[in-house]
Amino acid sequence: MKKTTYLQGAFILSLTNILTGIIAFIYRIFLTKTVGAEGIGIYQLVLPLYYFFITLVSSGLVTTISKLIAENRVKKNFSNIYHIIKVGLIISGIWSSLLAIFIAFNSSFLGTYILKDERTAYPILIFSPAIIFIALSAVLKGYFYGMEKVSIPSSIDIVEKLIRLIILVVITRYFINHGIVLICAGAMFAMVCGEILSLILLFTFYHYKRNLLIPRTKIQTNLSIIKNILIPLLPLSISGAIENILDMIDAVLIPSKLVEAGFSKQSALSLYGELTGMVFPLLYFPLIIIASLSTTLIPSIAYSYASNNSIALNKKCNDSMAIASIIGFASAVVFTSYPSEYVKSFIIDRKRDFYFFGQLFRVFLIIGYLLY
Amino acid sequence: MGFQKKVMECSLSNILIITTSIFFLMPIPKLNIYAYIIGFALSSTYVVFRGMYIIKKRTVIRFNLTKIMAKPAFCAIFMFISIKSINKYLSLHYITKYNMISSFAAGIIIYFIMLFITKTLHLKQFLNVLNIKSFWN
Repeated sequence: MKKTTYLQGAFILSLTNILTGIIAFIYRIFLTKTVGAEGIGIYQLVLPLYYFFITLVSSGLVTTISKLIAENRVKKNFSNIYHIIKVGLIISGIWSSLLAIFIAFNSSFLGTYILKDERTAYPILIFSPAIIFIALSAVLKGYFYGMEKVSIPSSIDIVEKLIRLIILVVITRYFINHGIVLICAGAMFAMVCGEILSLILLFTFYHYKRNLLIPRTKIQTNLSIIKNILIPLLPLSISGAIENILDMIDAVLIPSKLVEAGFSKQSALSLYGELTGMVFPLLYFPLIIIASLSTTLIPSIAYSYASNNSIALNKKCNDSMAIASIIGFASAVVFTSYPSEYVKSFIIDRKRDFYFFGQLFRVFLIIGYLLY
Repeated sequence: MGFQKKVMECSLSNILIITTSIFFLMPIPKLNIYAYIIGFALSSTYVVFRGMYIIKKRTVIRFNLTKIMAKPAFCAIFMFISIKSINKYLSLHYITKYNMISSFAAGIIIYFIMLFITKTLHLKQFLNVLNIKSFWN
């Protein structure tokens, strides 16, 4: 498979993210239809916790590994690349296993006292092993991004989401008469199966690619690799975890502050729900491209930086900023030219007054650009 | 490039600005939910300019502001004018439910034409990115 440029990589990743987003949307609709509002409520309660643990084990790992791989690629130090992957897999394996054991043994506590619903204990218990597979997959994805072979993890991502959907359909048919808690646990099980499959495929491709190229080159000591991984990883993981915690705090803080502003409790909650559930998904949609660009840009920048190629470095930075600007300005224009009508076409309840949404989108004229 | 601590600093500042605006501005009845948007705007602005300042100060990277800001902004003005005028024309002459979508589509096409004319985007670069066949060779 040919190496891709960072722009081609960003393009493939964007297409993949759009496709997996569509599959996730179908998954969500299917789940809503089978478990109903109450079941979705349980599922929604578990998800932030699931994402929080994912952030703890994998946030920053893809970035860090891809950067290290790209730097070693410049020196054609292939033995060291595979040594980094080995050490990365061991570190993330140990850390994620400890966390998975902690989650598994405390699933009842997390469900009852943190999420305040004891029915979430089973889904929490079931998702705990997924943490290990996600962490290991993050290391291997970092390898492929660092080697500029974006199409491999992208294709695997699509297969994973499809398999997850199929397993969900099968499990739902089997557990349909056993209550919503078991179906939700089944949905989590489908996620775990998807992650296992993703890891197996990533490892198979990694193993195949690894055997193609092994010239003997100098390798770093384990300690030095651990240091190289942890120094960039820790600040990135801490920022990811803090952002996750902030989201949870926002969910509590915003409605209460709206009540202080004179809204009733119900309208404060619905206003917050409208902002986060309707306005933000539309606003963040163009970010799919920018997020993909940043994933492929990091190893590419690391490569140019390690090879002291300031011309390439300048070109990549300016081109990326120009693309972000192009998307930012286009989105700002789309969101602000007919904001009320735009929201109306996406929201089913057509009797509503869309003035509020329209005004919100109008404000995004300024920040829409800066956000991207 | 080894600026992960700066990334953390930007994330923390972002969080601090948004939380402060929620805490102090949101209870003001006139602002209500818009306080969140104000915080969002302030934090995005801060992160963009802080990031650019760090890059300028500590690396050899120099941003070409004409290419990354002025040219796309100029093209976006054309896009905005086209969307508004095409939608107005269609609404006056053909009343269909596709007026808005058609005007958006036309606006995006004009935006891309302008991007190529002003050389913000290069056709060769654009086609190279779209060359999916090469990914699998």
